[in-house]
Amino acid sequence: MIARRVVSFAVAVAACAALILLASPAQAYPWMIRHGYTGCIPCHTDPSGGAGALTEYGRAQSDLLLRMRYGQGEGDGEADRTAGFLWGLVPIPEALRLGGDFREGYFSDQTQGAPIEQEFITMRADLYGDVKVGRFRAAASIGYVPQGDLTASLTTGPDDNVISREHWIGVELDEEGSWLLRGGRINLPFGIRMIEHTLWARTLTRTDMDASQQYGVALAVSKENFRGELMGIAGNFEIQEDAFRERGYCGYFEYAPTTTLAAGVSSMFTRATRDIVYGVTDYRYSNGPFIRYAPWQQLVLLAEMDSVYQSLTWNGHRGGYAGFAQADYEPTQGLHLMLTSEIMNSGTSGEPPSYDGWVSAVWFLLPHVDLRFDGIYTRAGIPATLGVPASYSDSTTWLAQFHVWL
Amino acid sequence: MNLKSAVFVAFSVVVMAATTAADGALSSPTDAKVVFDAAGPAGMKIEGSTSDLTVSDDGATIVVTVPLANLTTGISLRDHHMRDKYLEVPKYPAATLTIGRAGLKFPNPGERVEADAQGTINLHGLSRGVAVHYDIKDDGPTLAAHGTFRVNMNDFGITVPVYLGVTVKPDIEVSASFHVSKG
Repeated sequence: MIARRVVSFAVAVAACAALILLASPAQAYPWMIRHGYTGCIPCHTDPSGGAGALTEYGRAQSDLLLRMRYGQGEGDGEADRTAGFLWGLVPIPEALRLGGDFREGYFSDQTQGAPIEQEFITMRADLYGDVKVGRFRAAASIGYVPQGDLTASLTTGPDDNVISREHWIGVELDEEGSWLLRGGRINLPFGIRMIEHTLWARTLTRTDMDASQQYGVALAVSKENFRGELMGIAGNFEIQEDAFRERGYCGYFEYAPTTTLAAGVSSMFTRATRDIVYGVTDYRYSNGPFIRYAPWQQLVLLAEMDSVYQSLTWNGHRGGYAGFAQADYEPTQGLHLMLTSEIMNSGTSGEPPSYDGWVSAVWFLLPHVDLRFDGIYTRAGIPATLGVPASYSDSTTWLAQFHVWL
Repeated sequence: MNLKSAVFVAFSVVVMAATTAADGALSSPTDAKVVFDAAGPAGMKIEGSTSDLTVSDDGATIVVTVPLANLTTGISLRDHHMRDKYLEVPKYPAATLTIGRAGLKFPNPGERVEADAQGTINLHGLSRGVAVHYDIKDDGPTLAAHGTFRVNMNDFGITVPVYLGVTVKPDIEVSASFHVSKG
C-alpha cells in the first residue's frame, strides 16, 4: 500500500515535470556576464532580458561571442551577415526588431517504480517583434503549442493552441532608453532569467517565462551599476475566471560593482481570491537573493535562493523555498558545459527537501542554431501522510534539444 | 581607451614623481594596472585594462607612459575597433601623463597622502591638462600609488565609438595603481 502510494506520488511528480518540460524554454543567457555584460538592454529589447527580440547589436554579439567560430578569431572581422533576421536574407527597418524561435526536444524520464516515459516534444514555435518609434515601444509574440502553456493561450482548446506570451506597449522616459514604462502582458521581473525555465526557483515562485506572464504596468531602469524593474500585477487575463487571477507586485533590483559581478534581490506579493492550485483565497509572498559572477571569462557562477510563503485562508500556511546554483564553463567559444544543483521544499507539512543535479552541454554550432543535452537526476521529497512516513522518489531525465532562432 | 590610458599614464607619472621627490630616482613600477571605464546607453558598461606602464624621471618632471597595444576590454573585436579605429594605436602607440614634481605630495615613512595634482596628458596626438586625484602610501621600500581622473574623447580628437546603434559616451574614467621602489 505504502509502495503504491509512493509510486503514485512519484508518477504524479514526473507527470508534472514532463508537462513543465513540454513548455517552451525562452532564450536567456545570464552567463553573458562573462563578457562584461551585466545589463540586458544593449542586446535585448526587453529591459530585463531573456524575452522578445534581439537588438541589432545583440544579433552581432550572438554571432561574435555566442556561436562556435571554428578557429576564426572573432577579432578578425565584423559580425557575419547571417546574424541578421532570417540569416540576413530579409532586411528590416531599424525601428523594427523581429525574431522567432523553434525548439524541438526528445524527452526520456525514468521514475523509480514507474514505466519509462519517452516522447518528442515541440518546446517552442514562436514569432515575436518589437517596434520603436521615437520613444514609443510596442512588442508582442505569437506562437503555437501542441500541449501546455494554457495560461498564455489565446485559444481555448486543451491542446494545439495559439499563444501569446507577451504583448505590451511602452514609452522610454529618457533619451537613451534607461527608463522604460510599459503596460500589457509582461514577463514577471523576478530572479535570474535563464533558459532552464523548469528550475524550481521559477516554478515554485511562478515566475517562469513560458506561461507565467501577467498583465500589469512595469517600470524598468538600467544604469551603469544597477538595474531593476517593478511591476504592478493586474492579473493574467488569459485565465477566464477573475477569482483565479493573482494581483499584487513583483520586482527585482540588481547591483553590479564590477562588470563581472552582479547581485540582486527579488520580491513578490500576490493575492488571489481562489488560488489556481489550492482553490482558496491565497496570499503569496516570495523573496530572495541572486548572484552572477564570472571569476574568469571561461567560468560563470549563478545562484538564486527564494522563500515562498503562502497564507491559504482557512487552510493554514505553507512556507517553502527553492534555490539553485549553476556553474557554466565555456572551454572554447560556442561550447558550454554546465553543472546545476537545486534544492526545494514546496511547504507541504512533513515534506522533506527535494534535490536534483543537472549535467548539461550546449553547442552553438552554427549561426542561429544550437543543440543542448541535459541529464537530470532528481530526488523528490514525498511528504508524510496518514501515517506513511516521509520518503523520497528518484528519477532520471534525459533531454536533447534542437534550437533554431530567426 | 587612449584617453584612459593617458589618464593612467598621468597618474603613474604623478605617483612616480612623488616617489622621486621623496627618495630620489624611481625604479620601474610593478603590479601596475590601468583601468578605464566607459559607458554606453542604458547602463551598458565597458571596462578596459592594461598592465603596461613605464616611468621616466628627469628630476623636474615625471612622465608616465602607457603603451596602448595591449589595452583590452574582454571582447577582441571591440579591442580591434578600439585600437585601430578609435585610438589609432599604430599611429599613436602610447599615452603619456606628465606631472611636475613640485605639484606632488609625498608621504612620510609609513604614512599615506591623498591629494590632487595637475598634469598633462598626451593622447591620440593631442595634449590636454588634467586634474588627477591620487593617493600614495609608503610601504617601506616601496610606494603604493593609486589615482583617478576623467577625460573626454572629444577633447583628444577621438571619434566617439558607435556600433550597430550603440554609442559610447565620450566621458571616460581612468584609474591606475602600481607599486614603485623608492630608489
